[in-house]
Amino acid sequence: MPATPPSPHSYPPRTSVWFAFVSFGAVIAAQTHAILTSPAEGDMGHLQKIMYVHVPAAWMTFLAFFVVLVFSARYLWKRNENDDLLAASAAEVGALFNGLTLMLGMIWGRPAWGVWWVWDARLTSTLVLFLIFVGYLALRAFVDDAEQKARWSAAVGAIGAINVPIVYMSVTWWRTLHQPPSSPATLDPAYTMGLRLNAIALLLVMIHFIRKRYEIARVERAAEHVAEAAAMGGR
Amino acid sequence: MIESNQTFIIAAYAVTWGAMLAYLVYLLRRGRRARAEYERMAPGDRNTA
Repeated sequence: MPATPPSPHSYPPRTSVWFAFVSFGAVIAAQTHAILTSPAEGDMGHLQKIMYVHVPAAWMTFLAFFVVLVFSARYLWKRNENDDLLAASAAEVGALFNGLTLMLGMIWGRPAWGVWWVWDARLTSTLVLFLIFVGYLALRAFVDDAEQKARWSAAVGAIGAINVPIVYMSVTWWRTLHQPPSSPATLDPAYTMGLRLNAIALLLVMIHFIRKRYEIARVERAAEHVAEAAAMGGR
Repeated sequence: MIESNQTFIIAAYAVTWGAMLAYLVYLLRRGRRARAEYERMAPGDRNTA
């Protein structure tokens, strides 16, 4: 039997298992620190503790979609398939955090505002952002041609990511029920450390998710290349 | 009021962990399936770069 020639597509190395343990351990440590040390807030009491998951999830959404924007633009410029796969991986992870942000916002909104949902600018623009990236993922699932899929999803990803500044500024531009953006600059110092630690921990989890999803996408693409080569009689 | 607030706080952290762990399991399963599929199509070919 002749030796198998190398695949035309590189097979990615495995992402580190240790990084996964460190990132999830960091979330446990950061949440424990925040829950145990942050005092009850004047208006909301201990409900404020939802901030440590809701706000970092929203930041990770923005960051993931920024990665989508960068690598979608890079794909349209250089036509490197790996840029498309990385953008798609970030879009999937971004959609996860976006959905989580919406869910956590509803869980926080019910006791704080008395309603699960209001059609105000922040909530509606966040929902629109989520629907754009669900559409992005659906587009990738339904288009078969790899080059066409990459081109179309790069365009949708870049346009979708433009919505991120609108979501961020929505509480400033329009009158909303949602409070102004929470950040270490606008927070009481008693809550700053907890928010920073939780943001860093969730950033590590997001990096792990994107790296792992990208690795899987590359393995799947390498298998497709092998199949295409076999179909053309190359193997 | 305090008890009902605790329910919402617990729900928020449970949803967060549920989503993260569910996605982690999804990634592990899909990764295992993808590697098995590649191995089936190109046995022994790990042109890592």
